[in-house]
This record gives sequence, C-alpha cells and structure tokens, in this order.
Amino acid sequence: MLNFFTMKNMVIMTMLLFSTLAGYSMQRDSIKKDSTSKSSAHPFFRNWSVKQTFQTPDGQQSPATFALSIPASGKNNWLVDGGISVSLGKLDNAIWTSKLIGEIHRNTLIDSAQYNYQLGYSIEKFKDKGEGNYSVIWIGNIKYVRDVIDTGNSIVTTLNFSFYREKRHGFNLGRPGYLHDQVYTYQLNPSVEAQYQQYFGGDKHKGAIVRPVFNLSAAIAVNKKREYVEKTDTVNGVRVKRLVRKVIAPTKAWELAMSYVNRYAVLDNTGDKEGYTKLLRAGVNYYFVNTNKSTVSLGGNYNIGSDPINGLKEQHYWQFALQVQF
Amino acid sequence: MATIKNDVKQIILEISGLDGDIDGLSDDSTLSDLGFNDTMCRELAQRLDAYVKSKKLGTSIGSDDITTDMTVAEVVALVIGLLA
Repeated sequence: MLNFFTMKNMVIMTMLLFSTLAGYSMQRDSIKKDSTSKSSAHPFFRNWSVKQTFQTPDGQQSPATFALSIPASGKNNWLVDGGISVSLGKLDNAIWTSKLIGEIHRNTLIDSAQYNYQLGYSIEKFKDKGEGNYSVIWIGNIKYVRDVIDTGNSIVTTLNFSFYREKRHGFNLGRPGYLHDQVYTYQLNPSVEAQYQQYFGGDKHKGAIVRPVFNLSAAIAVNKKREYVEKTDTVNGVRVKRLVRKVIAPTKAWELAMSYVNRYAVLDNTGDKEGYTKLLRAGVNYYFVNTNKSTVSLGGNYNIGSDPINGLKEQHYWQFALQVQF
Repeated sequence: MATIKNDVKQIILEISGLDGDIDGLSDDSTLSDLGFNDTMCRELAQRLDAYVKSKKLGTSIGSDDITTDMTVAEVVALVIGLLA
C-alpha cells in the first residue's frame, strides 16, 4: 500500500483531482445550444455547491481549499477547508431558499492543528420587492459542530446580514463591480453576524457563548482580454462590417483578496474567557476556471488570527493550495 | 416586438453593470455569463415586473421566474409572452 504513494503517483493523483474538479466546474456551466432545450446543466449539478463556509451569501467569493500529502513514512498531512450543500428548493415565491450543509475544516500543516466538522441547515432570504438601492440578505444557519482536537460538541446558530447595493455606476456591494473599462473586477462584501454556540455537557468546553461579528471581504482582479464580435450592417445597400464589444462578464486572471473578521464574546459562561478574536486573511489567487458559478484557482495567502466555530486556534501561517467554489 | 426586446436587453445590461451596448449582448448568453448571481436575478425580476405592469395591467413576473441559467433570449421571450 505504501509503495503506491510515490512522488510520481501523488503528482498523478493531484492532477486527477484537479481535472475532476475543473471538469465538474465546467460541466456545471455548460449550456445546451439547441433551441428546444433549456440552457441549463444537468439538474444534478444545479442543486449542489461547494465553498468554504455557508454562513455568508452564495454570491460572495469563499472558495474551499484542498491539499493532501501522503509520505512514504510518517503521518499524512491534510488541508481540507470547505463544505458542500444541497439545495432543498425555494419557498414563498423564491424569497427564501434553504439547503442542507456539511463542512469540514482540517489542517495538520499548521502549528496548532485544526479538525472540525459540521452538519446542519441553512436558510437565506433574498431581496424583497419594493426595497431601495440598498438591500440586506439574511442567512440563518443551525448546525451541529464537532471539534475533534478539543473533543467538543456544540450546537451553533448564526444569523448573518449581508449588504447589497444595486448601482450600475458607483460603488457596488455584494455583487461584482467593474473598473477602467472592465480591465478590473472588484467585489466588496460587508456583513454583520450574531453567533450563539451552546456546548454539550461532559466535554472539555461547557456553557454557551454569544458573539457579535463584523466581516469584511474585498477583492480586486485583473481580467483577461475582452472579446469582440463582428456585426454586419447594411448602409445604403452596402454591407458594412464592424467590431462590437461582446457583452460578457470578464474572466479573472489574477486577484488580490482579503477578508477580515472581528468577534467579541459578549456573553460567555464557558470559563474560557474568549474575549476578542479576529481572523485576517490576505493573498493572491490565479484562476484556471472563472465563471460566475464556478472557480478553480491556485491561492497563496497569509492568515493570522483564529476562528472558534471552525476550530482554528490563534496562530499565523502562510498557505498555498488549490481552491474550488461552485 | 423589437422595442420590447431592446427594452429588456437594456434592463439586463444595466443591472449587469457591464460596459457595452445591446448590440454586443448575445441572445445565447446566460445571465450567469453576464455575472448575475441569485440576488441580481431577483433585482432583474423586480425591474421586469415593473416594466410589464407599465405595459399591460394584470401581468407580473415573480422572483423565481428569473434564474441564472436563463439565456437573454429566454428572458426576452418570457416578457414578450406576458405582453402578447
């Protein structure tokens, strides 16, 4: 068994995993061109999604991260930071949508290992009719959280309010915006959140914590070249060709991205004295696949801080890994 | 009919935030291709709902009538079908 995991085979397995994920992402975006069919990928693909966390809106960039190394001797090293959801459909004229979620956050490559998994339910309220330029998207999660490192079990409920601003010109929130003739794509996602975490009795942690949270993620990307299409007009009986810019969302090439989360345990009877916690993540992504529904990228980022619900202890580290979101 | 098609395309273009004019907006492009997420689809549904109501009383477009998988042609056909 150990002989199988040579360097050559690990490279092949990594390429296969990358190809599978990239192929899945592209299949999810595939359209049928014939006029008799709907322009949608197979229904199986539409109801599933993968990202780092489901506490924030689907429109926010939050790719899942994967890496695995299996040495010939010694312990395996894991980096899995993401989750999968399956949609349960829309409710109340599509104002609400709900899904089952599962997340796993395991990282043995850092000083204080992380091993945490979660199962639960998520519900999201979309923009109501009749609202102004600014809207608020509500996302509620309730989930069971198991922290293997601390042998802790808890029930967590979160309520996230993300801000959305609809304007062709000016600053956009919660949606992509474009700068300098679409040479750049930016996205700002501010949100506030309330978290309630109740530990079960008999574990290392006991009691409950309430945390208000402020979250800001921002990104700016350099896009690939714009596309043009040829149009033919008839002017005074003469056919004249002209190039027209194709109206299509630009494809990202490189991206600078950051996210900052600040929390405070306003109510804490666990005895852990959690107080203020923060998590800052900043880095660069290179995109192999980039559509509005799917991204596959290589990312390098610097992380400092902690994430109590996801079992990440206070520390700082660099991380380079494959990132996927669809 | 051509006017309705151009009006719908113009609304799609405005909400997408993309540069260009409706000449460059392909009928085969999906809303996802134009950068739409679910919230933007609901914004589009709201704008088209106001549009069809202004053209013909008793018509409406619901929040779940517009999805990211739909093409520009399908959105135009939806509106034209309501106003026919």
